[in-house]
Amino acid sequence: MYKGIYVAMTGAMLRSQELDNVTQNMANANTTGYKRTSFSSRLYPLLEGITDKQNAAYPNAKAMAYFGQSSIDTTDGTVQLTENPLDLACRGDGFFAVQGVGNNIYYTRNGSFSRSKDGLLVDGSGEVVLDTANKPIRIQGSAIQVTADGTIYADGNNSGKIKLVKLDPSTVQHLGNSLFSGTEAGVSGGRILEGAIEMSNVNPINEMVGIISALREFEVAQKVITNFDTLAEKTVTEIAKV
Amino acid sequence: MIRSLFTAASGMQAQQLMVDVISNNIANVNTIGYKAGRAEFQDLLYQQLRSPGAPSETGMQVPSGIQVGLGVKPVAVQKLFSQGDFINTGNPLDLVIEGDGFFQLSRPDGTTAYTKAGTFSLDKNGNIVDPDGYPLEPPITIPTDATTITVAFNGDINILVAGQTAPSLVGSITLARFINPAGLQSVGKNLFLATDASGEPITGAPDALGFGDISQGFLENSNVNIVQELANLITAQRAFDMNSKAVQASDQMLQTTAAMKA
Repeated sequence: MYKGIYVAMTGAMLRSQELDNVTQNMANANTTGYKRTSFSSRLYPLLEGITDKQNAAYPNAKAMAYFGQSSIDTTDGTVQLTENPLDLACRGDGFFAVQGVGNNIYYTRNGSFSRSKDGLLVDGSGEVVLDTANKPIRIQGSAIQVTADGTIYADGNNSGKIKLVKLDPSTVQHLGNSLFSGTEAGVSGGRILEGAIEMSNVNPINEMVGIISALREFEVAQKVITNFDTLAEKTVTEIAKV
Repeated sequence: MIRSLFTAASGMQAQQLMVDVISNNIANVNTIGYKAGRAEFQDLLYQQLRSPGAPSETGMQVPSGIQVGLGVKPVAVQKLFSQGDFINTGNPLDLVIEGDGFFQLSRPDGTTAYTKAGTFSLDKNGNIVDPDGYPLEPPITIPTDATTITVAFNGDINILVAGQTAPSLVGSITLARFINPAGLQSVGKNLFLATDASGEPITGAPDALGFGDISQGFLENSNVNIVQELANLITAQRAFDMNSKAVQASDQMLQTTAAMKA
């Protein structure tokens, strides 16, 4: 029947996905090291969907559909000072590398670290933070100091250097639990700030505008669908009178 | 669309928890030996609607996919063990640890509790006890005829008995420290308990390697930074507001959808 009603439908579905996305950002407004995802969409022609017969009947019409994509905005978040020596904030393009169960390596920007009972440097969920040789870092001693390049000194002794990696931006993906996956693309030029944590980079103004635009565009799409409905109704009732 | 409703709800719960933690910090701003807590959050799992790298409808590879996150979860309320401000009281049994270490107290059930609050006094038998009556571990008893009590920087307690001029040693305070103090369990009454995460206590004399000195006549106030707490309170409350707006928007979308079919 009317192709437009399906185009409007894909639009409405995408707007609701966009709201999901904005909501996720707002729910994580106070999550340490969270990176906001931005959502974009555009109209794509669906070339395969049209048969020769349809093409002959509607030469100017193209079947269209909205497609969305989300991308992770890895810009720095605001820094909050905590005075806790193992709270590390990363500035610049680096990610901390952590190793979880099964020796899988993940990446994180949540530098709220502590020491396990064995003295290993671990993140909030207990994953081990890796050094530049992909080994766990054992810290013995009480006075801990971390320099900007990630070298840890405990009671003045060098205990290792935290690995900071650059990730290929197109491969970065959220895994949940403050972790990311991605392909390593060399050593990062980022710096480490001791006694501070990186807040999320969610900007409330962006997100509020996101809510409004998602909601209104959703309503517009719904309006288009109802208009097609009215059109169909008229076709059935009015034209049949003649 | 129902997704965003529940995502926003998880956001509201998380901000609520943050307000709870901040309120507890503010309520304990003048509690001796209190250590501020901080609510820690992580993002929840993600729903993969379209994988990056998958071929698109035109046969090209899509550079980034669609991942929709499902909210936020609290992971920890982390205690910050930075030093609080010192208050001069002049009371001989008010003690402060300048640096790392906890006082050890034996609880009635035989377990050992750890505290930073050095407000001690004597019970009727002359034992040094905390305000709840828990004695120091190892116990130290002050004879009833003691006129002055002196606590040295290394924890040695000397007394002067009436009629004598030379002080005599009655005991030494032993401190405990933990490799991961953030893993200690708070049980109220300014007390902490050792857990599997904190590791076993490492005991030692004050002033020994890794331990702080003891100062007599001082108390350690809470390490709550009230300005920071108020700033965090504003952030948490506003984030709560915004999440509630997302709930409203989701509701409105559902309403529009329901109104489509007259």
